Amino acid sequence: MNDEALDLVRDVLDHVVVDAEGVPCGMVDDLELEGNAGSTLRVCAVLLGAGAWSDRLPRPVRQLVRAVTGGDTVRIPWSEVAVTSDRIVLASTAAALGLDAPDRRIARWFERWRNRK
Amino acid sequence: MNKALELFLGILTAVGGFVEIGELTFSLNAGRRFGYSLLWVVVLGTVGIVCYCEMAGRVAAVRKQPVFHLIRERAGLTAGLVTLLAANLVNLMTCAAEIGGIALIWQTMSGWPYRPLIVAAFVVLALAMWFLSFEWIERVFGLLGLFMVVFIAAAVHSGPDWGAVAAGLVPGLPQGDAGSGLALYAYYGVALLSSIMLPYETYFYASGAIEDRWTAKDINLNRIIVIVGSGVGSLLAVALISAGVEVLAPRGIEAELPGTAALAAATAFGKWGLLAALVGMLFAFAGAAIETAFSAAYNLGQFFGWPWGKFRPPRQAARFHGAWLVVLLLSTLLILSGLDPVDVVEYSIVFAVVTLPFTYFPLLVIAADRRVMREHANGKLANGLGWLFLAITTLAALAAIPLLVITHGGKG
Amino acid sequence: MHKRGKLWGLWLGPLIGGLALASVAHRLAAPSDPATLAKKAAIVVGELRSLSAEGRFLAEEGQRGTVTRVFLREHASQIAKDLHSPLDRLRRGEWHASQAWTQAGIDSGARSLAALQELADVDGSSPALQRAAAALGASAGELSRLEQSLEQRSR
Repeated sequence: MNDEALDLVRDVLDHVVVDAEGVPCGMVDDLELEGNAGSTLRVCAVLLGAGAWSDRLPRPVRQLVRAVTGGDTVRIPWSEVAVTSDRIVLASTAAALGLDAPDRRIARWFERWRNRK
Repeated sequence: MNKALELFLGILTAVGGFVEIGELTFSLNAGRRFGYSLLWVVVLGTVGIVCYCEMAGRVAAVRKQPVFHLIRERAGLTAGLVTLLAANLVNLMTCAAEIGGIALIWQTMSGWPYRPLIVAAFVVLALAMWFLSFEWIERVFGLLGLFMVVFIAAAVHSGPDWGAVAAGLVPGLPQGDAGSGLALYAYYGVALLSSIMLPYETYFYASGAIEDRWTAKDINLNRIIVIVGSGVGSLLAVALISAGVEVLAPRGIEAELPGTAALAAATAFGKWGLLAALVGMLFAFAGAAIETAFSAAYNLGQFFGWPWGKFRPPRQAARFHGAWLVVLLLSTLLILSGLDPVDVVEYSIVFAVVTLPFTYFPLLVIAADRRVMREHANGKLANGLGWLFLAITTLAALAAIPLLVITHGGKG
Repeated sequence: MHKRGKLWGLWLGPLIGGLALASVAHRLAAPSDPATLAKKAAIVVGELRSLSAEGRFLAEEGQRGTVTRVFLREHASQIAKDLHSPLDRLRRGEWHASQAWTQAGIDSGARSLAALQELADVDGSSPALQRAAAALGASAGELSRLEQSLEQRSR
């Protein structure tokens, strides 16, 4: 999967990530790369979450963002990812990767509020 | 749904949802101060919103991508985040103003006190947004907003100087209040343009196209809805300018309340005209409040890659549903604090124009990109208009805040 | 990230911000000379004039029977509520309190406010509406003349 050369900035970074069922589960907030000077640069993983995108912000703003959002990062190995023309498709579901945790947490509040009524 | 019915309802919904409290106020006051000499801005703004809504709808139908996905992709994280914050601040202010406007109108219809009606407006809107489907929300508020056509009837009834109306379609120097000056004319021009091309309309329209499951086959439907709906909707703005000219200017009245517009309809058609104007404004403002609250949630969801949309139940898109509820609540609290809705919306419209170039640039770039849009990429007309309006909105964005300051908030 | 997008954001954002700050700084640094004060006062008096004129319009439409009683009462109370702000600014403004025109504007504004409050309590009878329309029309006329003289002083 994805053995060819890619324009990472144009085709991967800041693109929407959808799971195996087509449900959006984040954006490619950063990339993990490996390689040395003189060798081929390879992508190891995509990184999702506030911890990943806050690193790309100017320093003064970074701490504030981490304090507000918690700064979690989810690492998806490159082998689990397929790049299409307009989105990044995962091999697994969002639930299996824990990417739906924030929605489940808030959904539980809604349920508790509804049951109280 | 049958395509013809969908088209008909789509157009009517676009017409009924064209005007909100900011456009109402600026149109009335533009007419009051400058006669018909700003009509050309209405035409310009309408062509601009048609151009960009068509592109947004087309990109959404072909790529299934809404506006804030494109902003994140093409402008990058930092610029995109600044655009997101600015856009959502404008959404919050506009939503607050609409809720205040709803309460003011409801007060004049019921006699109940203003502040409890703000809370009541929040409850009604929240319930409608939670329980009604996207399609029903569009239809109910868009179609009942059509009562606003009473202003078109009132404008014709007032027997305007059609020569002056025609002359107003050509850009020129201000007529009317000669003491107001060029800076004030420019301020009203920029504000009127912004009120017609409000960015939330593009965000909401593209998101709605995805909610309605549009595909490449719906591209012609998209074009017709946008062109006919906005074209007919702009007649409402023209009618409000006419009300400013024919009713407010001779009496020396500056519109500061939604009820002022209703008086213009009452003077033409009596109590029935008054009630039609009040009902039309009530539902138009309610529709705008819903659109801005959803738009804020769409923007957040799309920028951060959350599952989003009314078509997804709360348990699957809890952050999205929580976001619009929080925006609606914050807007309500903002207006409960005592801020005047018309003052709030005036500032939101001026700040909205600042975000326009940042919204439109990524959209234009993607819509013109043959690599991703293939045979559905912009043709010469769409590209030409797109770049023209990007230039116009950039100039407007540069001038907006200085004009706001120089003219003391449009007072003189 | 698109290169053109980055360049776009890099120059346009700071330029908008810079122009905004420059205009605010210019406004704050503007001298409080008599012409500038007269201009500011004209704006405030203009608001009073507009609200008084609207009150008169409302009373006249009430007499013609084109508005409901609820609308008449509630819209009058909304206009009255809006009138407090310019009236307070005229009372507390930076213009010298001993200026005769300030007091004239305050008096006319107060008469408009009283007429609007009467309109908000009115029983819908024609004489009451006529009185309110006449009072509001007179105030609007006085305020209009005051506004014009202030605008002339500001040039």
